[in-house]
Formats: sequence, structure tokens, C-alpha cells
Amino acid sequence: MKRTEFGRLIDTIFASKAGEELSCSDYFERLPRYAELEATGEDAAARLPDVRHHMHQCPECEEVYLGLLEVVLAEKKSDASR
Amino acid sequence: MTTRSNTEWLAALRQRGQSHENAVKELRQLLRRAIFSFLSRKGSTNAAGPGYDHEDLAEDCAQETVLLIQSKLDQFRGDSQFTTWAYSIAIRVTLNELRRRRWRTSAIEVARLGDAMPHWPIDNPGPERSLEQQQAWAMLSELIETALTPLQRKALIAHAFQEMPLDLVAEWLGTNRNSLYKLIHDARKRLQAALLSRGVTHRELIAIFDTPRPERPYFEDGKESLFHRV
Repeated sequence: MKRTEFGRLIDTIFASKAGEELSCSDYFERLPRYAELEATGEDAAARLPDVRHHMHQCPECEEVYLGLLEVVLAEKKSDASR
Repeated sequence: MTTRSNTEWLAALRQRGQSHENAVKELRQLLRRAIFSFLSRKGSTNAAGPGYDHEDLAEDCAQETVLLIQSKLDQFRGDSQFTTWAYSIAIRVTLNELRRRRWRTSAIEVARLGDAMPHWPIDNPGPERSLEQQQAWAMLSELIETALTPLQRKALIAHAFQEMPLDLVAEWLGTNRNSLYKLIHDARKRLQAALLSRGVTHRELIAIFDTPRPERPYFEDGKESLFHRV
């Protein structure tokens, strides 16, 4: 385990909420909207806080978000250059 | 290549005939290009694994994603571009495949899976581990042993310390990803309560292990920066 991953594990322990959290399936349903908001410069975390919280708690789900954001930004750049 | 609205994508993928074939072909090309570009940006020349190049992997993942999309059309919410939704599935399929390949080459013994708490999980802990770190690690290990249920402990150790991908942990434990996430969430809550009951705070534990902060911090100065804790 890398030190950054261990730090993240400690973070996730203390960030756990008392109630229910968004499941991975619910997160993936909302993720496309979140990525589009982020790509257009809107405060996606403020608009969809449950999505932001889930991606913090679930590094695998965050990795999908980071990859998706790259793709969306590349598409946006490609559209703008046409 | 045509530019389709969400409604046009859905209609073309739902009907039969030539327009369906054209839409499937166009979607597969879009996804293959996006996946290939994603894999190339990941920077690792062997991300796809030995004997497999990025083009082959992009093709396979694009094919799998198209099949998944066709089976999930009713789940599209319509609050994003159809293509963004499709890309999200493609990236998920691709990363799952990369994680499975990475896991297959890892050296964890089946007998130890989920059952053995690592002695010290951090690579390059520094020339000397302080007494404070050793004590904190011993306490954390003890709480993982005593505060969690056997199933919570198995799942947390396999995923967090032995780096088994979530989907594979779920398969191994005979459950699904959502239930596994809930199981790990409950384990974290138990650990949080146990740590707080011993007077250990988030800031203190981070300081003891001197762990680097993530690029996008969730906590700032010991407080949650973006969220209200329930």
C-alpha cells in the first residue's frame, strides 16, 4: 500500500457519514451529469454533493470519474476546434 | 460521422434495420477512439498487459460497452449527453479490465486473502518508524481485529490492504458491488466510532503517519471542506 492510499483510507474512515451513502450504481447514474457540469466550469460538487462524497469514499469510482472527465474535456476541445 | 441528439441515438439503437446497424457502428467507433485515447494518456506502456496492445484492448472494451449499452438503454436518465453516458460505461469497463489484469498478476496467496492483516502496509515508510507510528499502527490493527465483523474485516483487508478490485471482492464474497460498498461503509463507521472513543482524531492520525495530502483534499485543516457530516 502506498502512503497516499493509506492517507486516503484514514480520510475515508473519518468521512463516513452516519446515514446511508450513495451506492456505486446510484453514483454511476449521476456521474455523466457531474462530469458535464465540471467540464463547463460549474461547481459540480456543490450541485451534486452525494456524488462528490461517494467518489471520495470509493477511489475506484473516482478513477472512472477522472477518466470520464478527460474524455469529455477532449471532446469539448475537439468540438471547439472544428 | 453524424451528430445525433439523445432522442436520435435512443431511437436508432432501439429500432432494427440499417439505421440500427449504422448507429451501432458509429457508437463503437466513438467508444474505441475514446478508450484508445484514454489508455494512451494513462502513460503506462504496458497498461493493457503483455501480449496485448492498446488498440486490441480498446476494440474489445468498445465491443463490450456497446453490448452493455444496448441492454441498459432504459436506464439512461437523459440529464447528460447520451455520448457522455456511453463514455462513462466505456471507461468503467476499461478500468475494470485493467484492474482484473493487474490483480491476476499480483502475488497474494489465496489462503491469506482477506484473513491476514499486513504487518506494515506502507511502502517506503522512511528510515525509521517512530514509536508513535508503531503504536498507532498496533491500535489500528487491533481495532480492525476487534471492532469489525468477520465479513467486514475480510472485505476491508482484501480491498484496502491487499488491493483486490471491488468487483472481484464482491464475486469472492458472493455478493454484489452495492452490497459490498455498504459493508465497507459500515466497517468504516465502526472504525471511526472506535477511534473517536479512544480520543483519536482524523488530524492526529494523519499527522502521526505523516501521510501526503491528496491533490483534491476532502478535509482541510482538520475540518470537512465541502460537506456537512450527518
